Amino acid sequence: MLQTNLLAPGHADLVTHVVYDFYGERLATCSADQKIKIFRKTPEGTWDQETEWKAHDAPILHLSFAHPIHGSLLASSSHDRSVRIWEEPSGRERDGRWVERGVLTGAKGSVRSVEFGPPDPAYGLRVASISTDSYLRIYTSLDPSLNDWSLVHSIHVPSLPLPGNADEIPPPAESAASTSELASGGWGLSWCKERWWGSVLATFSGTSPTLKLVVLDPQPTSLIHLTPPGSGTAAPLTSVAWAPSCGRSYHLLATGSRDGTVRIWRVEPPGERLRLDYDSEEEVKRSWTAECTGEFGKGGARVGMVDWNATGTTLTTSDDEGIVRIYKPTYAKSWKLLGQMSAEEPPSEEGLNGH
Amino acid sequence: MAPAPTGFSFAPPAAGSPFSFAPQNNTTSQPSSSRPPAFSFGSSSASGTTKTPAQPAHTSDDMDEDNDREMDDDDDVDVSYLQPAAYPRGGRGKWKASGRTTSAAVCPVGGEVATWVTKKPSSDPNQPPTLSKSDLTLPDRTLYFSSQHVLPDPLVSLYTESHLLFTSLQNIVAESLPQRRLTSGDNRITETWDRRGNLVDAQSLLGPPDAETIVHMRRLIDLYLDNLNDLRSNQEVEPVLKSRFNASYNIMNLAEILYFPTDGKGEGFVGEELLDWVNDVDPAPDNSQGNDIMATKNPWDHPSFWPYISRCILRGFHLPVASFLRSLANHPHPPVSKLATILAQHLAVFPRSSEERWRVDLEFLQAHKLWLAKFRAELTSFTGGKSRGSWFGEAKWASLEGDFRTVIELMEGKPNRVLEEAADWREALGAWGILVDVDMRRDHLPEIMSIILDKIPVDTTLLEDAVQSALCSADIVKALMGCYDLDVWLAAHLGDLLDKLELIPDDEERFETPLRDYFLLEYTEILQNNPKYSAFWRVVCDYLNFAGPEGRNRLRSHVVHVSIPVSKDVKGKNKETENTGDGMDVEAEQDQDEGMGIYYEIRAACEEFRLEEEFKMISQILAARLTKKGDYGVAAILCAEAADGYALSRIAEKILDSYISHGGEEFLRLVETLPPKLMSEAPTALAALQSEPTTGLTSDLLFQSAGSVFASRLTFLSQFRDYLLFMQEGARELAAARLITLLTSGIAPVGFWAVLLVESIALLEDSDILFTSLETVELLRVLQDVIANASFAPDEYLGQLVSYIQRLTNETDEKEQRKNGAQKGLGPEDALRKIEEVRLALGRNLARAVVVAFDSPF
Repeated sequence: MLQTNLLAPGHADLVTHVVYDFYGERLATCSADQKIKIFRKTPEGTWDQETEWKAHDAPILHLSFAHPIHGSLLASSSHDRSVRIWEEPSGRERDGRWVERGVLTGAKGSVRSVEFGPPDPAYGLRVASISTDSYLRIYTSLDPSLNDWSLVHSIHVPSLPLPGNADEIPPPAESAASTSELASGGWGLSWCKERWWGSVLATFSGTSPTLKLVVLDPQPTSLIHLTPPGSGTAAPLTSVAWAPSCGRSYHLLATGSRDGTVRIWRVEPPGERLRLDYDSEEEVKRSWTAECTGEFGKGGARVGMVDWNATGTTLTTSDDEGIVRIYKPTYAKSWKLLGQMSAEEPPSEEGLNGH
Repeated sequence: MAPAPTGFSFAPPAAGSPFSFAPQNNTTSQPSSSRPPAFSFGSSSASGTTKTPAQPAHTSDDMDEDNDREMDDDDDVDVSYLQPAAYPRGGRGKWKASGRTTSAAVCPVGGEVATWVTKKPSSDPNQPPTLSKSDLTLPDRTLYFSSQHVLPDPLVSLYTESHLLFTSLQNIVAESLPQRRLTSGDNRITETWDRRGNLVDAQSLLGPPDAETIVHMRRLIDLYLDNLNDLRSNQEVEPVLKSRFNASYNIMNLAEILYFPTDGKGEGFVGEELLDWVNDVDPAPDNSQGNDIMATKNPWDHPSFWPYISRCILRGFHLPVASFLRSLANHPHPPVSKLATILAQHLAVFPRSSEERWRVDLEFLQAHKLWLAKFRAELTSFTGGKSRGSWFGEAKWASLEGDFRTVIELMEGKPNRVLEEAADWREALGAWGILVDVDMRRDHLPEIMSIILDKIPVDTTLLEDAVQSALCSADIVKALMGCYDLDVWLAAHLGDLLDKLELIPDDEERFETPLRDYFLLEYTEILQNNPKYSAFWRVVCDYLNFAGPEGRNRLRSHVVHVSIPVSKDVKGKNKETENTGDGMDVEAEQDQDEGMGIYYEIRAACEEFRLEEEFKMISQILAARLTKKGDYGVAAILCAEAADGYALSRIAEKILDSYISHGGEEFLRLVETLPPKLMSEAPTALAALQSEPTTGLTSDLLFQSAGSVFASRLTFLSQFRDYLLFMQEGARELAAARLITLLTSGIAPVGFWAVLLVESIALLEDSDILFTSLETVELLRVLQDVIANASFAPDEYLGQLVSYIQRLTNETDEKEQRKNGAQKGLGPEDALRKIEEVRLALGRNLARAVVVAFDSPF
């Protein structure tokens, strides 16, 4: 890895999240200062600020750009318990802030993560969010002008039963989230980018080390639960990323944990040919299989984020010690640490020579 | 002499050799030698296991840990450092305790990673975290960007140049396929099944390309080599890169000699070519040293005299050796000078296969045999049966005898002597084909290499040597693995070449992608993941297209991520842009042209690679962006490309809206921007759709109705334009007729009915009677419809009329009015009042028309 550039985004507080748009031509930043800023890449590769606006009444936590087929849309989530949908103004209102197209409320806690679903004509534009109340909420706007948002699904993640188990785990009473859960829990989600299997996403909540893969329609149902081997002692998850599958027959997911573990899961949906052989939809759903094909960094510092590149061939992670790591598969498909970047001051020259 | 043929041959009958061009359909013993025990990339630990050992466990929790763990757990991985550093060396604990951490985001295109300092989540996740010290430092306010690969210009140049060669190569080989199919005979069936019963692609059974194709391929390899040669000899290229180019050149060159022979068949002797290659890779001996030796009074006293002679013989420089030996003519001891003369004489006529005098190979072999016999005979007569150590009589010359023996044995081609004298395996190999096995052919190489390497092992720390020796040993997989560690470009391009010869064994059981595809994909990743990625988008398309199913899949995702610039300013006459300088407009237009240029390039690529779905999506997205920008004309073209009828009708509606809000002039301007072909074909398309109504609920229904919607919208636009033009020209009769058509043909959107009715007032009040009584009644019927429907859907039926009246009544202060909004200023009741005016005008006209009809019934 080589540092190529710097940008001072000019927020009044620390940046909380940064996202690139679909083409890598734009960058949205948000901050504890409640503002969103949009930057555009210049031909020289530097970033020019296009606009900024105050978007929430509390620190903003997460951003997501929609697929461009839905237009130029950005979603933001915040400690103010809302998700807001923003649309780029048309030419006439250029310098202006983005236009608010929706305020999605209902969460009973900070909304920790928000992500637009992949384009899917069957379901239109969908956006998923998860908040510290452990509810995964899916909203949609069937109205092309995006002014009418409705909640499609509200899923209590801890209550999602194992695949094939019809009995839902009863949701706990409102106040049941223990203080320890709140103190060391994590909440996250990531959509499956492939629409062949329907509207599918991966999510986790609270102190559970289990990642749940959920198909949303017609009723939200678990496809498979990914629990690390020897999960009795496994640490809570902090982050998840579903890799773009690029037409491969299997999926890759990465998770980060509080104890520094980064896991790479290879998940295989039932084969297309086999689909006909199953007796029921239920059985199809049960036949997803998964295998943990890579495990790194156990016992290290809390993993802050995991993210894939566009082809799902490179995994980037960051941890609480300020180290960004890049993993790649070898020809034999085993995963390998390829490079790392540290926020620490580099060792002095003598130190290097003495090595 | 030469080892007995081992079944290695380029000729078709002998199959099954890694060196053979014939298909490797025998799955048994032979190819297993070329299969390495385990694969590993760039890692010293060669393990095929799926799990990497976990790092040393640290029991401490992240909140209280402060042991400044070094990053040594990831030993062999390079660490780079962000500048400015977020915390000083040794200051990690303090920095963490302040509540800070870092996070990162990956760019979906170009592989850039953005890193920033952020706050750790607080212990109450519903409360925003705080810093122990709230002052923001410089790193706190910085976004760091980094990239996996940064390409220096020489690499960009190589990658760009070699792209065209690569694609030509694919085409040449592809074009040779049908020919091979024809000539392959009856015994090769087009469909064949493997052992497991899977249908095997017929193409893979065709075997390697024919000699002619290989000759074509060789020409392209020469061009690859030219590129590399230019770069390795360019003074401006950094030394590190230069040595990489040099290594790539040497390896590619060796591969060309061994696998892409000039005759395309590889039947000739390979010794001379290999020796030339050795002399090019590692030039020796040093000329100046030779001059030094010859400059001394008694050259044979020079310590390097004999070693220099040996080196020259090994490197095939026989004439210089002869002159060296002739210097011994002045030697004080006559037997020495006599022997030296004999050797010099014979060296000077040592037969070389590269000489042009041989008409056939056999002639050379016979000449060499003869030469050797003569040489030995002369030697025998010289020694006259003298025993070892007594050639020159006196004991003081005994040591000279050893030196002479070395030369003689080298000339005779004694394998052990060659192996002793050679500095490394490469020199030994180069000499082998000149001295030991003068009939050395490509097929003999693996066996000869095993003899050489047995005595002179390859220094495994030298990657380049390992690759070269693997190539010579026909261990293709090992060679390519080494190439990959050396330079991904080389692995990709050489892998592609060798794969075309079907020299890379399949290992489907262990690996998902063939080795060739894997290297090409890895190379493509470099092209995709560097700051200059956008310049390579088309190059990437080609490589992905040729990189197997996985490549094709990645191509789909690659092409939709290509960014098409759309200038932000609205083109043409629009309120805000009017005020900006002309310069801005020119710039915007240039952006636009550039954007469309890329769009058409993408279209060409999508056509070439048959990416219809992707192209449709790209067009839809761009059309939506242009529509939003007000560039309806181009947007409409794109909608047509994408066959997106809904988007087209939305554009038509927007243009119609412009009449309501901005008037006829703006409407006509916008209609003009639409492609004329689209407009002229719309009525025909509509008629066709109406005459062939869809029967039943077919899957096409959606598209059909979309088609008819956009066709009717466009027809309406074009007819309404005619109406406006008639009005402008004062052709009021034609205008009236057109107005009737608009309302009676069923193509007018319902919201526009009321507007058209109001438009008719001026024509109804004309001094001439422009509407017949029948037409007037028809208009009355429409009017009744509007009023009836407006009672339950006022917005739908009167909304547009309201805006329309608003514009008419506020032409002078249009801007102000727009700000206030239509709903506030006027309402449906105003519209109804206007409709009543129409009714009045209709009534008057009806009366006039009836009277006229009475006066002149015919």
